[in-house]
Amino acid sequence: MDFFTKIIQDFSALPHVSLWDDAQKIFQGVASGKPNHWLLPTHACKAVGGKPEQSIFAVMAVACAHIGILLVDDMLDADPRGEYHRIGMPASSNLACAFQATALHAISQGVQDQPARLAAINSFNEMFLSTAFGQFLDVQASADESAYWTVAQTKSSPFFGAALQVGALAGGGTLEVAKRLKELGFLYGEMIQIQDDMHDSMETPANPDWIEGRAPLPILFASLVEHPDQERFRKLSRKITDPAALQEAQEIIIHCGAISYCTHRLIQKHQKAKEILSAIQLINTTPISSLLDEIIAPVYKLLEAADS
Amino acid sequence: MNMQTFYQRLSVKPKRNNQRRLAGLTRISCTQILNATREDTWLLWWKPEEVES
Repeated sequence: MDFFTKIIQDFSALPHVSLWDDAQKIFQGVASGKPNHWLLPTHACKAVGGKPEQSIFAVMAVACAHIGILLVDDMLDADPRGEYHRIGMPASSNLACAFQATALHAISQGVQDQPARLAAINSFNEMFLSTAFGQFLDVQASADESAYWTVAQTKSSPFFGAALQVGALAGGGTLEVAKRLKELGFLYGEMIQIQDDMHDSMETPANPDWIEGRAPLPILFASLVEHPDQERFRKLSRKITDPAALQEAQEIIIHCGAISYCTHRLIQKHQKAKEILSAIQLINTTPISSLLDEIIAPVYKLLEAADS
Repeated sequence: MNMQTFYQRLSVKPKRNNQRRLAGLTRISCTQILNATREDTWLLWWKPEEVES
């Protein structure tokens, strides 16, 4: 039985959840897509010498946290795919609370060692608070680069940091090692965010970020940096639902150096993460280094494409 | 290095190899970027049609 099947079963058997159809339906729906991020704790668990099955409860916690965040994020973003369209905003908010509580329940049931349990619960609580603040900031739209990084570091990074930290604690890693993996997870989360932004800004038709006035990093770069096409880009952004305007705006994003900048930032963060990894005393570094290699691979793919 | 400084350095003829490679990215296509980057962003639902089944 794979991890996803196992946690669907475990989730369905939880108190209250076993009687709650919507909660089960949503969990099963997302789990069926087998999101890679849910397995982050397993990578950390293996890195500290634990067995993959020791991380099951941490995977469940990450899964529930993720779904709680998605439920709220979709309402804030007015995302047409959001569950709130089906069940309504009040029910969706209530479910988000339930999923957060379930994440904490999974941790409190899964970690036996008292200091590790406290550290894991604190980690998730901090992550929930930071993410909520980051989601609040995100809907205000970033006015400058510093605001962008604040959103990335509050909204996206804590989830990935907590996932690795709790995975390490699940595998019997020390509090210090778990904390260092959390730092590494933060950088990993920022890298995920930059890559998402690169992808979103190149999508056709225009990604909702353009229309809602939120600014992924490449769009922010093209809007704020003083370059010959800056004014033209701003004008095009105001009529971005027009396919011709979108195409020209996307070409400006590339020509002005926005994608180069994102790539530069990705490489910097990857190097920093590698430095952190080399300084952590792990039983097996491969599960973590493979995560980092996976996330940087598209960058080298792009550079190769540019070279050829 | 912030965005503006990066742009200024990219605009002058890049001397170092890695800067030259980054400058090369100003000549790629949207499709190349879409192909190279992830489709499943972490704040997207996966297979939403299965939620309904």
